[in-house]
Amino acid sequence: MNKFIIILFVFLVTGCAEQRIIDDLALINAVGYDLTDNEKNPLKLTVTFPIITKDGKYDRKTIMVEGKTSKEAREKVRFKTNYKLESGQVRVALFGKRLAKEGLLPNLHSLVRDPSIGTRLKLALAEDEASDVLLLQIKNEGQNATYLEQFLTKINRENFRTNYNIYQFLRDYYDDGIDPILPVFKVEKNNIAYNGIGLFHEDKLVEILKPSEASYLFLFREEMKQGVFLEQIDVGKEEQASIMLNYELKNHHIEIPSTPSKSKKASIYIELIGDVVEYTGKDDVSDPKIQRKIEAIITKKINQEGKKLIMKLQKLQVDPLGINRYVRNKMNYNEWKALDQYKSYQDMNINIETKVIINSSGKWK
Amino acid sequence: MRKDRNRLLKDFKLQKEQIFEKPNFAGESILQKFISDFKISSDLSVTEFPHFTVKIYYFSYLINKDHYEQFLASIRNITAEELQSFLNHSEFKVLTEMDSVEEAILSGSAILFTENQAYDLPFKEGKGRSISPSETETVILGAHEAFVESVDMNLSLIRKRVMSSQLKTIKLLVGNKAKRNVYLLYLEGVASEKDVEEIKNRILSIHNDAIVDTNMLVQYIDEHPNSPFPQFYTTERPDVTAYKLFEGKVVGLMENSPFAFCTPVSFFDFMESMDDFGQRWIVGTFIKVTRYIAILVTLLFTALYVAVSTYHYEMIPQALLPTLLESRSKVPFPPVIEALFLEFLLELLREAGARLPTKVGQTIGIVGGIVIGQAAVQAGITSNILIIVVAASAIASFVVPSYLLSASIRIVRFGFIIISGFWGNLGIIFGMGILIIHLSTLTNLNSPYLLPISPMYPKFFKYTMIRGPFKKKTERG
Repeated sequence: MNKFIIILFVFLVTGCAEQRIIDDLALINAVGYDLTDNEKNPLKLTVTFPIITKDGKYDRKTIMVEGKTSKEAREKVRFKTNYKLESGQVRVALFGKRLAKEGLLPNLHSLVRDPSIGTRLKLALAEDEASDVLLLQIKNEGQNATYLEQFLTKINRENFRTNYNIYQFLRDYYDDGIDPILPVFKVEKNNIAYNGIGLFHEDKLVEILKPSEASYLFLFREEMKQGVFLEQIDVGKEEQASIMLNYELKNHHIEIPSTPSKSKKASIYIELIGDVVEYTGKDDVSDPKIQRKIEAIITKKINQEGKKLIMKLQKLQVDPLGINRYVRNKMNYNEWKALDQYKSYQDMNINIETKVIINSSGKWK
Repeated sequence: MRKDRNRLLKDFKLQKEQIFEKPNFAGESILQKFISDFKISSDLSVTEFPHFTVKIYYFSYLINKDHYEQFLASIRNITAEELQSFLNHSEFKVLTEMDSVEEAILSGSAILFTENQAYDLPFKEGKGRSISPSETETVILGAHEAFVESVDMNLSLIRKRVMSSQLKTIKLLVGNKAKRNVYLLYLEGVASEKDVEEIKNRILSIHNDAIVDTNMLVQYIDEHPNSPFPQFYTTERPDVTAYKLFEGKVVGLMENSPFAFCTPVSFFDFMESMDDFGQRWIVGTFIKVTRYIAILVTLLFTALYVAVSTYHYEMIPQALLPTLLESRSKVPFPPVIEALFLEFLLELLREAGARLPTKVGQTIGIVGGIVIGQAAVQAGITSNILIIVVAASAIASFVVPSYLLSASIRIVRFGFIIISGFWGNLGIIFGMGILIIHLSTLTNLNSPYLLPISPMYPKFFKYTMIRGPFKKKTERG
């Protein structure tokens, strides 16, 4: 009898668990953060969530509010919808360029602190305003959040091999040998398009690399396993040809010679094996002699462009390649602490050594 | 009705006392007693002879008419003087007690009463249902014979499969007044004598006349009558019974029941089918593992739907969200009510299908299929996804080979749905905990219900959890 009463109580005293039935919820799937000129409410928050219309169709609703902090803005969003606001389905957080230049960390912290948001939440930058990207209504494309998430997953899977999520960002941020990067999206001709990579110094956006430059950046990052190399190269005198290689990064390592001198040196070795997919020159690429020649040209091109890119990174004091991690590995903790990392990075002499092997010339012949 | 019964019982007690008072009663008194006992039995037939005072009583439908006619022909030709010597020289047993007279006539003998004695004339009719394929435990590979209602036939089916003098049978009588035969079978030296003793004592301690089937009998002798789970394995397949005998189990057969029970068994015996042994061991193991997954699906799938759509929207994959939201948007009830409603409807459908004749049963299938499958969704009573979930768990529940266990699991599933409606995933985990605790407290003939797992004997996993290859199967499972 006693047992029975206890069981009865167990079922009666369950008013505590809060029911969250999915059809009564506004399941936010993307948030956008922007900075405004409004001094009172400097933060502009854009949230988008799916709704079911009266005739049973799957649609979305986007709400934009201004507030002091992200949580205060969220409260304001709550007043603007008949559904219960829940952030457990957030897939993408988008940051406007202006806000990113001020630093992402405060907003990231408020995202991480929410237990219903996982660390696999994907991050991205918007070229101008995050709200523009989220508010854009593309015909028959469905949810912008789903679009962005799929886009980011695709970028990650196809060739860039970097997870653009909170976990990776914070990991790179707290690791003092490397700086985080994030992809940039922009609205162009009623479409959301990838437009390069944002480079961060600590948590502040410094510069946006164009996609063509970014592909060189990824060539020197170690997560990179395969990709596409597309470039105009000079063959012969005043003759240009376009070449496209599907390559695989066979070998990648960064070496720091342990010299006692103040100015550090670093060398990046990469080894590519590629298949020619497109070649517009007149030469026959299946001829081994021509292949050797093209290999040499590409090697030169990579060294040249890479050097240019790395000089730029050094000047901007951003280290997305993680070269400082290798520097740190060569010294003890006290030395590392005493070192002015960015200063030494700026003065460093970084060499690139490339080896390109053309594996096949495609299905031709 | 009840009064009559009480009066009968009283009479019966009185008669008993009388018997004990007069141990050496005369034949005349046994006839009188017999007549007074069976006085309202209008189906009792009697044959009387003009030239000598002999009466033969019998139930005409219990005896073999041909044998009886032959006997009558032989007895008509003799005189009254020769009769006594004829009976003395014949193989007919003399019955001295009223109890044995009663038992004999009810089990199909004719009783011959002389002036002072009663003789048992065994003209038992062996008629009954002929052996047919099993309906409840069908197999694809293997024997198709199933037990019938005649216990003699059933014993012969087992003897044919276990051709050994080691196979021992014990005959027990169950019940107070309307006694019925229960046979215990075991392989000497393989089964434990302690088990045999224990089960014998339990059966003998039953004082109930209304037990008409093996599946009822086992509920009188199990240790945990309030558990939803079946504890004795009952089967209508002689090949399974023979296999259990070789495994060292005690088997019980009951008169007029086409089911045999086996003991001691564990949960995993209920998950076994004879088909597993007919298949290659890799296929057999795959099928077995499929069954465990099916049990989990039956128990948890609907509950998980309720938990996720009520509490844990975070768990829904991005790609599933649109469909789930769309199908839920029209439903006016919370998911737990929706799920219970549909599950209950399905139980109704199943029960109706089981009880109806096959020809009407098809109508139920069509009505159920259309009503549940289409109209309910269009009317906005349930969601599409839930129909898939409920259908999947219903199908999974029929994968469990034992009908008894499958029914228990379907009941337990309702508990899981309700608890997940209260507490979400936390409730499901609590429910699993309670279920595992309950299962591990169960015993069957003092042997733990979850035997190779708790207590843990990894050595036996290959006979129970999976279906191990035969080559290594040298010892008993």
